[in-house]
Amino acid sequence: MLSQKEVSILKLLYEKRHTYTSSQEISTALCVSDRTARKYLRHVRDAVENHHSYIEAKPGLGYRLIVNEGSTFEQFFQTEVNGTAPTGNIGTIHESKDRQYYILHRLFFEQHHTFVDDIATELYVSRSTISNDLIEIKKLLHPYQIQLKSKPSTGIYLEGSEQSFRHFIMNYFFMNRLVDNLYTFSTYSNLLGDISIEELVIIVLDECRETDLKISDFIIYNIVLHIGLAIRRIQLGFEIELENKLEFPEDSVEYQTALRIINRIKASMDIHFPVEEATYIALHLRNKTTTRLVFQRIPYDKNQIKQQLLEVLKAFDKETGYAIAQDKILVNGLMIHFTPLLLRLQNNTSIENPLLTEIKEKRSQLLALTIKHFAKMPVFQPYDVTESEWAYLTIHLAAAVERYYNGQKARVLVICATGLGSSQMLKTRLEHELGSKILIERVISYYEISEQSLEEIDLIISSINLPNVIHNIPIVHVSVFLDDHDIKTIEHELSRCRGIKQLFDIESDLNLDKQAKQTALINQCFRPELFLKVDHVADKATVLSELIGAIEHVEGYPIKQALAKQLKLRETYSSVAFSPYLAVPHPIEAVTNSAYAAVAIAPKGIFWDDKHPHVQLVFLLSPDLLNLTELEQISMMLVPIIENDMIRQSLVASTSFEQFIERFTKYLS
Amino acid sequence: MKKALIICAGGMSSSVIAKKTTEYFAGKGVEIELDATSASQGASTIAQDQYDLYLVSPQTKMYFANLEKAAVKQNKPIVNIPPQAYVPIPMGIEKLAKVIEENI
Repeated sequence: MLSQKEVSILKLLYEKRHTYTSSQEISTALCVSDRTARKYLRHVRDAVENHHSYIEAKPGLGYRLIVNEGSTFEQFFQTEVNGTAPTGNIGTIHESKDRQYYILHRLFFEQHHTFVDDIATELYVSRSTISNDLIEIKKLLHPYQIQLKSKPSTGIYLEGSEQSFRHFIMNYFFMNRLVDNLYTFSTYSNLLGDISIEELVIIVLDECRETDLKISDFIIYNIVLHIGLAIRRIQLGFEIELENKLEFPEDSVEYQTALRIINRIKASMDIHFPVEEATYIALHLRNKTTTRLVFQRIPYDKNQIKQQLLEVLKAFDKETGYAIAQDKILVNGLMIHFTPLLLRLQNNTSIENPLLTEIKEKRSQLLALTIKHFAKMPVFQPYDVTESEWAYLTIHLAAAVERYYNGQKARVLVICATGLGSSQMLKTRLEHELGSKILIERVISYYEISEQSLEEIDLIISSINLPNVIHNIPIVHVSVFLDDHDIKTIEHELSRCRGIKQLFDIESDLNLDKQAKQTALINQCFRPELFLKVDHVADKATVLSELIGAIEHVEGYPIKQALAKQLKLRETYSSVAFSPYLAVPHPIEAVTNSAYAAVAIAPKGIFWDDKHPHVQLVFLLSPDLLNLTELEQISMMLVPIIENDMIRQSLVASTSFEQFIERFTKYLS
Repeated sequence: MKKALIICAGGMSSSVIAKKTTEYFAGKGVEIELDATSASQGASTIAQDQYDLYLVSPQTKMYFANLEKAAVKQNKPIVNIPPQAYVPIPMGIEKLAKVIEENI
């Protein structure tokens, strides 16, 4: 997606596409410097070029948008201009993954039973959409032996052992997000040193589950961060200075849980917390109740504060060019942080920030920006907020900025023979040479390659020769020493996948649309009448003649001879065997009124020619005379069959047309 | 990044070949990308002058003379693809890549 400013440029150029617009005009319209305007313009130009249109630059005149006819520009323009609504409310949860998260969050943290209809209403989607999400959720839950069950009286609920619940929560809500969230804090300041964040998460999670406190993942993040900072404070010799002591009922579940958390940390890490710390943790645990209490004393409700926050973040984005206002982790994290912050402000207490010196040193600009923007929030007006408190917000912002940059980095999976020893060297070399461009997700051995390990990976860097088993993800082979040539190859591949990524970001909304189109195309071109299963050893002529005959039958005109002649002619130019097992005969010039894809499956093999004596799959592609159907799209869908032999085997083993189509659709890239 | 365009009949094989060859170049770290278009759009596409090299597929070589005129106007190279270099198998792709590298 383009940023708000970039969309403005795009709109401006589009409106004035019949003439030239100077860079001064653009910078004035955007209220930015000339230089900044040109920076944005570069992004816009790249994005536009991805849609086969371009921005022409003429010295002395300025810029002009040239839209090529028949390009995907219009579609792209519509998505960009209309699709940049502010995010953050339920109305914008439209991605399947977001919905899954919403539902799982509900089931694990909020209500144990919930109705599908209620969720559908809350998310403004149909019941069947939610049903599809539930199928995906079941798949996610399956490895943990957790079952999603449903009863008419109570709705859907989860069934499984407490142990497996925790396992799932740990992995789904935390491990996958830890990298984005907590690690940024620790990597940036070495804050927690030898203390493992995972361990803290496990302790907090365990204790909360034991006492059945319904704590959301964001609150757990905050508690873990709070504890991490508390540990740091103790290590540095700080003490919480309380002028007005906060009260918390000691017999409450929250306080008792907080005490148990402290005791476990004491046992496993030998950190002795002062007893006041339990009060703070308990406050976090009782976030909901505390929030109500805190909000009673201020003239705004939660939504108004969120609105104030979003405005501040937007102003922040406007000044810096980041796009962190859309970062849900940031917004939710800050909202939760505000509760104890406001409580402290209301009680005139303040906690020292052990990182203040470090933040001042390394992130002085960000701290200044934090104070500049957040001090404008009406909710903070009555209070005297200390630098230490502002610096806490800076930590959240720093993490968001880091996430913003990580989002820009390509996610890389490193594969080595063993995943040990030399691979660590390769990892270090990669980080050293390309750290600003890539994010190494994992280093694994060849045997660890799985569907899961490939999720959200943009690029694979491998020190061993991989057979073509991984489709859709570019692979670069390198030596463990990573020489100059290797680096150049990787950089090239990165520039390519960045392009693809941008395209995907823009088109993510259109993706479903694209899938639907592909399915429609398949349904249009493939037919049960045009499906042939050859169970005996057959020769090419017979199979082709049967396929042609089937097409003539569907077409209803005598085209047999013309089509056969065209197929033969095409083969005089070059082979149509695309792999040892796959042949794609097609005419040079169209002969049929409609487009067809006729298929023959021959497990025992067809003698195609001397070089291809064992063809098992034949796709006869016959385009329509008017060339209205994009049959070449079908042709592109055959690439995975060439690249991945598993797909070939699976397709050849299909026993019926329905099964074949089901498998073919499944393997669509 | 240089760009080459395959001009063919219907796009049934060229789309696959373009994709595979682009992948092949990427794997070698060579900055060349391929697209494909049909012969009927060949001349008008050449006139837009967005490619560094034009490749005419074996089954459309009868249009070569016409397409060549358009390419000469833009001062861009244009070549016929040899039949054995027009198959999406590794050997064919390798040959086509060689043709492209020699002419671009």
